[in-house]
Amino acid sequence: MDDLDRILSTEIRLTPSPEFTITVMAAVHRRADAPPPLPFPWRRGALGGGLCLALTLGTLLLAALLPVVSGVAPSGGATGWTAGGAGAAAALLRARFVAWPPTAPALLLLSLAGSYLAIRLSLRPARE
Amino acid sequence: MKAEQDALDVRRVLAGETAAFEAIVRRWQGPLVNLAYRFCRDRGRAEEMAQDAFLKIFNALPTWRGDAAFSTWMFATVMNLYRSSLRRMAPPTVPLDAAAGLADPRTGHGLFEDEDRREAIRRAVGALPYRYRDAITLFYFFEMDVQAAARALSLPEGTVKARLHRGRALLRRRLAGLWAAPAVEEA
Repeated sequence: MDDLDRILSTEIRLTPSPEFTITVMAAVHRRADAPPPLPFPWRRGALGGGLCLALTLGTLLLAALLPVVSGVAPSGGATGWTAGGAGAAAALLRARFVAWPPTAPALLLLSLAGSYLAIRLSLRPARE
Repeated sequence: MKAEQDALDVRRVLAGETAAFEAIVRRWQGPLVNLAYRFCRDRGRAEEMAQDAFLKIFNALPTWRGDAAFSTWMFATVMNLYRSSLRRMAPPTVPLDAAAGLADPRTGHGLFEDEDRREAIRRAVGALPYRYRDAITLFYFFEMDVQAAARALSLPEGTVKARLHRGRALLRRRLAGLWAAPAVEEA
């Protein structure tokens, strides 16, 4: 055993203060009496996650399909189809959401309604 | 005997008898406060850390499977907590002139009083990188038992031995001035 060992081995021994046990047990009793924490809402989470995934994939799919029907006039009149049924659906959507004048306000309202619904749903478990 | 009492008290707590936890607190408050003190060097802070540790142990009791001794599981749990709370604290600093004095045996004629030497070593241990500081602190806390230190750190013994070796080499380099002074007398 060298000097370093000797010095590090001989540490002072603290005695906890007399009220230490009382303080700890008071905190333990408070913790034990507290209501159990809310479990994570796995079902709702999975449902929401699935919905988000579907929306994301749907949007990506639309984004991929829209340029294919770039020959379609904004009015919806087909001038040269390059895609089949999916292309027709995309063309229809494009006609609805891009060429339709009140698209931006409609999308804004839709987003607001979606946010409101999400907040209401998230607050529900807290009230229950 | 202590292990059996721990297991019995844990069973009582898990059966809903919260007051049985007091026996565990009384049995382990000394070691937990002293271990915390070795890391933070502040009595008040050490008691706060130990209190948090007991609360964490109380909450985590259902996860103790009983395949290891309660004390082994407890020290591993406590070390995780102590390490994370110490990382949030500012690292200890040593004034530049003091650090220079430690490294230079000529300063103060190379003589260190016993308590100065102890204090310098404690500060140097506190200023080591975390992995070496934890290994060294636990090794001496468990009365130089590598196995116990390894269990508390949840690390293989070989890793702890390597960290001890490197940590002590770092300490010797940083405290070169101390070793040039006359050997410390037995405490």
